[in-house]
Amino acid sequence: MSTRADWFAGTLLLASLGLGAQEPRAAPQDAGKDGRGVKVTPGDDKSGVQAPQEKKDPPFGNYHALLIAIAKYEHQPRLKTPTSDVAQLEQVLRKQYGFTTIDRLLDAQATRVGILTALERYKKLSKNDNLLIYYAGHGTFDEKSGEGYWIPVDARDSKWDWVSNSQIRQVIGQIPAKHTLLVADSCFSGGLTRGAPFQKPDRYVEEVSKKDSCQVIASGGLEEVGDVGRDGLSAFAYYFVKSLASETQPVITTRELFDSVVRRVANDSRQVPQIGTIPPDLGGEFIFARVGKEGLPEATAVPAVRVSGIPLGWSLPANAEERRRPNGDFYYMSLEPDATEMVLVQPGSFPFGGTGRETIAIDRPFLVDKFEVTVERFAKFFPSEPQAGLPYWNQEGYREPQQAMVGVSLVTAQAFAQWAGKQLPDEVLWEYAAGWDALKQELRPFPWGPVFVAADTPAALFPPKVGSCARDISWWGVGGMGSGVQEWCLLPPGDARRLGSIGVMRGASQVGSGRRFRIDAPLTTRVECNVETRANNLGFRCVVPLHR
Amino acid sequence: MNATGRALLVLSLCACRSTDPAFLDTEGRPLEELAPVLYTVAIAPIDLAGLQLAGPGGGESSLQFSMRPDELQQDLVGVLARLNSASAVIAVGTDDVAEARARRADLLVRPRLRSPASLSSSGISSNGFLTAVLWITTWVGGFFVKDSSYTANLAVEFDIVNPYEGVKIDSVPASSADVDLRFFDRNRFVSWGTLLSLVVPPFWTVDQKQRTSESLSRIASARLAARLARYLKEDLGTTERDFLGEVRLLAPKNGAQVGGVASLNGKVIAREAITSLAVYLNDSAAPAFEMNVTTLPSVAEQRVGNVYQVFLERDLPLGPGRNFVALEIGISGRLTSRTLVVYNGEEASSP
Repeated sequence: MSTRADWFAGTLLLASLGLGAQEPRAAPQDAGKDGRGVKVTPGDDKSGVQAPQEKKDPPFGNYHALLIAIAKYEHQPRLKTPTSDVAQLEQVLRKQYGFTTIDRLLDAQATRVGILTALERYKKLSKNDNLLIYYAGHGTFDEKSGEGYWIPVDARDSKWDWVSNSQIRQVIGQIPAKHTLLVADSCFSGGLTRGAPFQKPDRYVEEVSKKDSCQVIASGGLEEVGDVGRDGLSAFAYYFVKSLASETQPVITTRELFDSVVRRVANDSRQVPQIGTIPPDLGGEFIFARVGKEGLPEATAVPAVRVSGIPLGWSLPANAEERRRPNGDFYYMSLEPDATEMVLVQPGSFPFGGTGRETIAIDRPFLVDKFEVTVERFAKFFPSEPQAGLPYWNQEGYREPQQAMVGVSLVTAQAFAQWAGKQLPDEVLWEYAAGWDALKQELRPFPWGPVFVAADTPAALFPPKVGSCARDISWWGVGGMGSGVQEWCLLPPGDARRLGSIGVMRGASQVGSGRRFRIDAPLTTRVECNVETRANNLGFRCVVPLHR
Repeated sequence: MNATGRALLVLSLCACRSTDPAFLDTEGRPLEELAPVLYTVAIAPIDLAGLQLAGPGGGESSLQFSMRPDELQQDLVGVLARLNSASAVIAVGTDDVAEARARRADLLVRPRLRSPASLSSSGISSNGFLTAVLWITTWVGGFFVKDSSYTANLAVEFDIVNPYEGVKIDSVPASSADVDLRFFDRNRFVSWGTLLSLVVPPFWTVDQKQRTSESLSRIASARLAARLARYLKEDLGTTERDFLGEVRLLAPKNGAQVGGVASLNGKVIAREAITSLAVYLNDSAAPAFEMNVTTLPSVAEQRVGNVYQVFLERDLPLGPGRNFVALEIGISGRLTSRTLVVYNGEEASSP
């Protein structure tokens, strides 16, 4: 019982044995009756559940969530991440998916009575509602009885203190929501899930949105799962929340979300998430629908199939194309003459310079080279030699094909970009792609996070190969912005000197140069310099804006 | 002493003191009397390029080059310092560029062996007659004349590297050929040679091979160093103008005693635009003052004919004793530096 164990394994077992849904009970229990009531987040009414909003008619109904996080156990080992897991999830659900009611049940509130009471309250929902229940805490599984349990905050080592799967299944079976999704981040959770490889037919979303569903996602199989994964979240929560936050499509089904999460979690930890259903599932799917600026779902019509990572209404330029990896992730390639992988960066706004004084809006998505322009790429542009004005061209130490191309003036870099059908980034775009964490809504000090790790970016005599620092990946997936070499950027669009003789060097460099060389320069560090600067620690990368 | 004796003594002294031309500049001035260049020069270990430094002995003498590669490196450093070649001369290890940067060298020199050292005797030198005369008349006078000739072939190429970028900007071939030795360059005082010299002139005595080898090796090494010193003091100017920029300091003089304040007065000249200029005192990581793209004259203002120049006038308060003043210059972003040595309250000496 000392592990985070999954309750629904037992639920699924019961379901598979035919002990399915019971008839809904009519009378809801009174919340907070025993003085340990449910904390309801802003927006709740006296009953704790908001009535569906009538003024708009969202295509997928109203969204509600119950987030249960138990970290500070009274009689069990404490956990580190549940509270932050649900806090981040709540932020994403509220801002990006328009959940109208989000109830949190935290630590001391998550007693046995508190949990069951909170679940009971959702019996008021209707067929126009969707309910997400997220549980992060201890659990256990009794192999003899095949029963799983949640471990409430005050539970001792007695089954009478726990919340059994049977009870939870019973309550959930009585909730009349159109779609219910249970997500459990805990151990021993997946052994009893079921499901075949997922194939999406055309008009899939439209069909599944019409059918009732009761789905379960578990953070692992019959195994222990880690409490601490990344950025203070559990491994499962990190990717679950990140997948939701970085989703570019207006709608995503639970299975799509699961597909997005499962490989990442499996690759990053020892656990393999599972997906399944419990009665009364009728083959539908819980649909996550992103909201637009006015709080309305972006999808006014149900798209047939998710076919692109490009935001709705935007399209790639002719010299770039979207491709898909075997795991379903989208990626982008610029085409000849400068064929290379690029990363899609979504619009947003962020505090440029990290000071918080100036918030700048990025109003269109753009592609950015995944890595700096290499010697090999540059050679296609400038094939003959020797090159006047390229001081390191074909010099020993600077001629490896995968090294970053350095010693290029801003003017030459712009010429390359133009030849490739791309642009040089201005420093606003560069900083946004390098440091903005759209999930946490914060500017990272370094592309990979808050802490500089000297061992990852050792000082180098010559430009290292691009992508050689595995850690140096920004939130968006752009590599090498905090290692390798510094990069040319244009001054921001509003700067009157933009068309003059001044450019900006951004990023850190592993190639030492001068007494003030700082390999650990935070990404907000900027050095203005003459456009003719051709230093051996100064390279560049290109961007391609999308258009409507 | 009669007139003949005095004449012989003068001749003998002249023969002893004759300066090796390898240690003179093109105008015949001793190299050590020329001002040191404004560089901290790092000498890398000699690159043997797959060769043996001590090649087979030449002919019957079986003389062997007596220095190991590391000793040759140290000897080059010592001779360059003695010749007052640069603000400072240091030896660095195999990770030469990194170490040169770490030790704030302005220039890295990589010696590369072009052919193994070959030492052999070539007989009596043109001073043989003088030796004979001095030996007959004074006996001891014959010991101080370079009366024996040798061939000391040692060829090295010095690659001149800007340590900021690890790129070679020039190379200097250097070699040592014929060498004349005195009796005591070939023998110790207590030796068979000294006894034999009682009956035959010194150039006919039997030489001590080890001592002869050591003398030849030392002189050959010193000639290589002298060639490098001459390059630094006479020829580097052309190269640095193209690759490293040129720093012309009217004051202070490198190695001068200046008191508590060094008044820098000079200018930086380069083939391309000067994009940054910072001056550091001693080991400070923070510049005493600096100019960047916003404070430097514009590129148009810098341009004079086909070069770019920026004037440098600034007073620097010095600490007691020896002070290093480093100028870090960006020329189109490519860094280079110079090091000036000045003294405050301490007798200036050769760096």
